[in-house]
Amino acid sequence: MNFKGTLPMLILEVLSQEPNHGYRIAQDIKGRSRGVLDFREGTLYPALHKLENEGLVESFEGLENGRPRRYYRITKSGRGTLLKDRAEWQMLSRAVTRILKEA
Amino acid sequence: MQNMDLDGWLMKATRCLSTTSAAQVRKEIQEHYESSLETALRSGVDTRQAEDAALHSLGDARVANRGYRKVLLTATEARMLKIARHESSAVCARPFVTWLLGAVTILGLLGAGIALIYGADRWARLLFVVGSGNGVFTASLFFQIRTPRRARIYRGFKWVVVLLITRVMFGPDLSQWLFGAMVCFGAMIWTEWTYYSIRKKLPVAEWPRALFY
Repeated sequence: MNFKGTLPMLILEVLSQEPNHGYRIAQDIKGRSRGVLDFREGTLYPALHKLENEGLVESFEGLENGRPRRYYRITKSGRGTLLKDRAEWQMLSRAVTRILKEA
Repeated sequence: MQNMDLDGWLMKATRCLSTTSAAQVRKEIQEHYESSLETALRSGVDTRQAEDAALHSLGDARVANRGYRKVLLTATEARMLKIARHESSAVCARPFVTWLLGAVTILGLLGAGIALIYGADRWARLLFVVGSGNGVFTASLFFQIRTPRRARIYRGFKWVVVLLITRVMFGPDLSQWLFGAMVCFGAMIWTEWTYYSIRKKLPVAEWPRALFY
């Protein structure tokens, strides 16, 4: 399913739980949407870098099974943006559902 | 074969990126690919199938490249940034150069005024262009423009002066004026556009002084 534009919000949502690396973020989004939100993982990193440039996430070197990995964590400003985006999305989603029920 | 395929993908995904950006992309995609490969192998498929699945999950390299070029420095931008850093250290950090440029501005504008008094219109115009053109850039060195907001105000002022200069240089004929502006300031507009792109990609703390102007 095409979910263009919502990927940054979904990334922030995943990172609000715990810091993670790119692969786990992608799997988390796919898993939690039960495979509905299937996207090409090569597009995840440009979105992560954009969030980093905007100061919404920050990256750091971590280890997974002894291997160095680049982890990302949400910043304070990122949490604020997530709250705002979540509220906007819920409002939009409720409005669309209401219209579709009327049809 | 595995590396050939992934290398091909990475080659396309890192096209036009700076050396540093390309290295960063290679590292993160390589890590991602390895995790993907491990997961596929754990599910019981053979190596070949796991490699195909890992590569397929990355998607179209050209789409990724378009995304990367919007958020990471390209080779051109990295070159421009290097020049900007050099400019910052060569000009901005030397008070002697700053004061010399300031003197050229004052002398240019004074000369323009004197030439105007003596009726030498062409000289007056030329000296005004030299004085004000130099002045608008020198002004940036005298003022503490260290915040994005102040920098935006300064750039707005700079472009007003630049347009005024082209108006003085090429006269009131709009077509001639625009043509002159394009010829003289084409490179400047291109630089401004590249700086705009760099500003979006770098945190303010990493901007060299020239990037504020």
